[in-house]
This record gives sequence, C-alpha cells and structure tokens, in this order.
Amino acid sequence: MYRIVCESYNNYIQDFSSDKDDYRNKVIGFLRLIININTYEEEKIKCSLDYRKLETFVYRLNKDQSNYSKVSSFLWSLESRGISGVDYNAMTEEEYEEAIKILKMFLNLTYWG
Amino acid sequence: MLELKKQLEDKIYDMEKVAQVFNVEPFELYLLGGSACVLGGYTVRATRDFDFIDLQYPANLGKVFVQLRDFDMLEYESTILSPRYRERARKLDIFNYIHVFILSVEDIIVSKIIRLGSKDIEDIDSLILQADKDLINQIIDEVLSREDLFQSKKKAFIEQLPRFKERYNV
Repeated sequence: MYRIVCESYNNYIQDFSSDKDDYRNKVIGFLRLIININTYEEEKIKCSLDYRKLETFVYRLNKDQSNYSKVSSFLWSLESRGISGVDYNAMTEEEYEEAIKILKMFLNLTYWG
Repeated sequence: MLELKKQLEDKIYDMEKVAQVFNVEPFELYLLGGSACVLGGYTVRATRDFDFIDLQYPANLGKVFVQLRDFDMLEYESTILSPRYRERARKLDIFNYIHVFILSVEDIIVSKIIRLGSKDIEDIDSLILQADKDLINQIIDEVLSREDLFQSKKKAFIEQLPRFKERYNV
C-alpha cells in the first residue's frame, strides 16, 4: 500500500495547494518525508519537527495497527526503508486522530487517481 | 468454512461486475496469504483479508479493488517472493473476467518464513504436509538471488531460515 499512500498524498496535497494553511494540510504535511527517502534522511539528521512527527505517528500506528486494516503492509514497506517509528511524543491526540482519518482515506483508495 | 470460501468468491465476482460496468480491461491478480489458502483449498483458516501483489496497477482500478473491502496490496520489493512465483501460480477458472491466480503452497510457505510468528507457524504446520520440500529449497534460493528485495527484508529472512529449516526438516 506504500505506493498508493504516496500517490494519494500527492493528490490530496494538490487539492489544498491554494490553501497551505488548511488545518488538515498541515496535519498530514509530515508524510512528505516518506515520498522521498533522501528528504527523510536529511530531516532525520536535523531531527526536524516533521521528522519527529512522522516517527511518532509510525510508532503509534505500529501499536494500534490491529485496529486498522490495510495498515500492516504500509508499515511493512516503511520498515523496509528504515522507518519503524520512535516515540518522540511530537503529536497531539487531535493531530494523531486527524492524521489517522486521512491515512485511512488513502488506504481506502479515496484519493488514488 | 465453505461459507467463508463462498463469501470470498462473491467479493471477487463483485469485482468482476464492477470492472465490466466501468469498462476496466481484464487484469491479473496474484493472491497469497489467508484468502489464497481458503480459495485454493490449502487450509481452512478463517480470514476475510485479500493479500495480493501490486503489479503497478493504474489508479482506475481503485473502484474495482474497493469491492474486496479488506485487502492489502503488497509491494513486491518488500515481499519474500521468488521472481518466478507467477510460473507456479494456479489460475482459478471459476472467474471469467479477472484473471485470478493463487500462489503455490510452496511460494506461500516461503513468504511466511520472514515472520514465523505463532500464526505463521500454525499455517505452515498445515501447509507443509502438502508441500514439495525440494521446491521450497529452490524457492528459497530464488529469493536469496533477488537484487530488488530490500536488504532489510532479505537480512530478516536469512536470520529466520535456520529456525524454519530445523523445524520442518527442509
């Protein structure tokens, strides 16, 4: 599902390209790091906020994955790329819940194509 | 369990209907995991999940795949598969529009070696009785020869191999 999430993320962001301050756009912005692993590595060195958010998100998703179908192969592909999650506690509960909602839309192919 | 098999078949029939309604060209689907085991009559494990290999499908197939409801599209580069899995896959002739294949018992077993969790062991215990062990060894070699498999996955697979070989005398 990794490829689907990447393509869906790009489609989703395009929908909000005219409103970069949109809340949901901001909430999911950290996912840009999974699209390009070089960017991920650069942000990792800087330990940027987006990097910490992604790691926190993946960490929590790993713990919660039994509650969400289709997540496991996505996480499996992230792990292949060296992204397995660290608990930086960098997301609020609200941000996490919102990000999950959007990820579920991606996994349900809502934004694919 | 026959009921479960029929439920899985019905979801694929729904997929076929939608594909035809939207004029989606027939395509191939290679199933592994629990749904393949049930549809192929390999095991009777209860599952409603469809796991299939991502053949770089175009996005217009999205409306077709959603008919499966619970599905995972597996990235080839992250999956323990031989490059020759398609040669050994069996076509399910009950479907007329979509070309549905299930992986061989041996390919499915090898795909499970990387985890070897209690559920995988339970599955392999059942599958190994109908498997060709020489073929399993051949598939393991084919997987190890892959250069397009993520190194992290290949490493994890190699680490589990001795445990698998010892348990199943392969």
